[in-house]
Amino acid sequence: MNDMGDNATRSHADPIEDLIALYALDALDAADRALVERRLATDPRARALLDEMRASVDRLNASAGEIAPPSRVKQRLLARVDADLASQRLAAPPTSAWERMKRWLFPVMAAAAAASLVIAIGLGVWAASLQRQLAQAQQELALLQAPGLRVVSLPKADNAPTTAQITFLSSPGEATGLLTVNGLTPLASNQTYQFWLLRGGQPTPAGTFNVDADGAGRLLVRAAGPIGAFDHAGITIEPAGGSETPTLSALVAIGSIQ
Amino acid sequence: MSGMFDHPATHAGASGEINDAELAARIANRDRDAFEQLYDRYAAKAFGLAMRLMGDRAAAEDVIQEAFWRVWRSAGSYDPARASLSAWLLSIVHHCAVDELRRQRSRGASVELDAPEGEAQSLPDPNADTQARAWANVQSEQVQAALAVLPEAQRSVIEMAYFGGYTRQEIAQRLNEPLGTIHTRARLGLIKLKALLANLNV
Repeated sequence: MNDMGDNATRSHADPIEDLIALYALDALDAADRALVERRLATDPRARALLDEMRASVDRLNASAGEIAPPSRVKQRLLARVDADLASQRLAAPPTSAWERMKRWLFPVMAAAAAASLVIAIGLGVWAASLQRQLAQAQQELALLQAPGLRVVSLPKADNAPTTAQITFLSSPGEATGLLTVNGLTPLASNQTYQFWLLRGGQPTPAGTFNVDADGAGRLLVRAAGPIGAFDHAGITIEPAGGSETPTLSALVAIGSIQ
Repeated sequence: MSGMFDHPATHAGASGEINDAELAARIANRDRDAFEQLYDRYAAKAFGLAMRLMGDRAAAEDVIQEAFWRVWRSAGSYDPARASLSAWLLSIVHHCAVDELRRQRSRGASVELDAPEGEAQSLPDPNADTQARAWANVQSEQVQAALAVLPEAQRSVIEMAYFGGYTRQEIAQRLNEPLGTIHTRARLGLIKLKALLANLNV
């Protein structure tokens, strides 16, 4: 490229300093940006120039005008934040509990083996369950941090409680997704909520879940292939253990996930 | 008594009105309420900017959702000494919008760059509809007032860069000018714009 033109208006001989205005305008590709950032890290003069350019750019922002976004943006964002906070809470305490337990589990198990094999087996089962919880929390965290995470609210069906909030988080290229629900009615023990992924109207069972007394529940969804291959998702109420095909009269929510 | 609760200044609630630096610090500390407060404070500015670039409500919604999420994940990197919280947030919004515009273009756009045009406003574009709307959004009165006083050459570089999401190479190609000329116009244009907008008290 010819960088030598237009000498009349050129006052900068430094090619990188020359890029700073365009850096402030976000008009550089990744390679150029890296070049400027390396300079900024070591050169206070370049940083001062950038601050000057950014002050102008911020005036452009200030006059861009304000438009209130629809409330669903805030709902989805806060649902994602809540899921993030919940996953971290799940991930943090079991980690330390597991560490604590590992420290004394083995001596305890040795003693228990002498005293009672049954107790040892019981502890082992408990540990395995904690480890499963931890693994799930880690998968949820990985999903939440995936680039291109898609967050959709599934519209509730007419017979679902009015307070129901149903959010599905997925990354189209990944096979895992996270369903979070709030305000659903707790079910009798012979019933379960079941989640479905649909492609071209064909439902695939995608897991069952129940909600706590407050109506909150979550399901880590593991599909056979990328979630992006499905176009819709829905929730029904099914007999405990789940069904092979959805009972449509008991539809709780359905909507597009694309 | 109820009047007191209706007043906007009391919306910060029991914690009182907190400043930007504290708000950012609390978000970095994973404070959901602080994050919600940040959203309520700046969402309309963010959405206005995203709409200006994307020209499409659904795309602008995705952009601000992604931008606020990045703020939630990285509020710890905000430095109050270098920029106001709104300037920092809006730079993230802008960045997300530009990323998305460039993704959209690279999806359908191999032909477009082979056909440089002399004039920015009449560019063929695979996303002509989105682009036309984004371009129409550039007509904001205040910016227009200040930009109108800029030399045309500087104005088109700034508009294409900031509101069109084009890289310096794309701008040079579209305006059929050497890169060095684009650099100079951007720099001089921004310096002049700052002075003009200050005078207009925008």
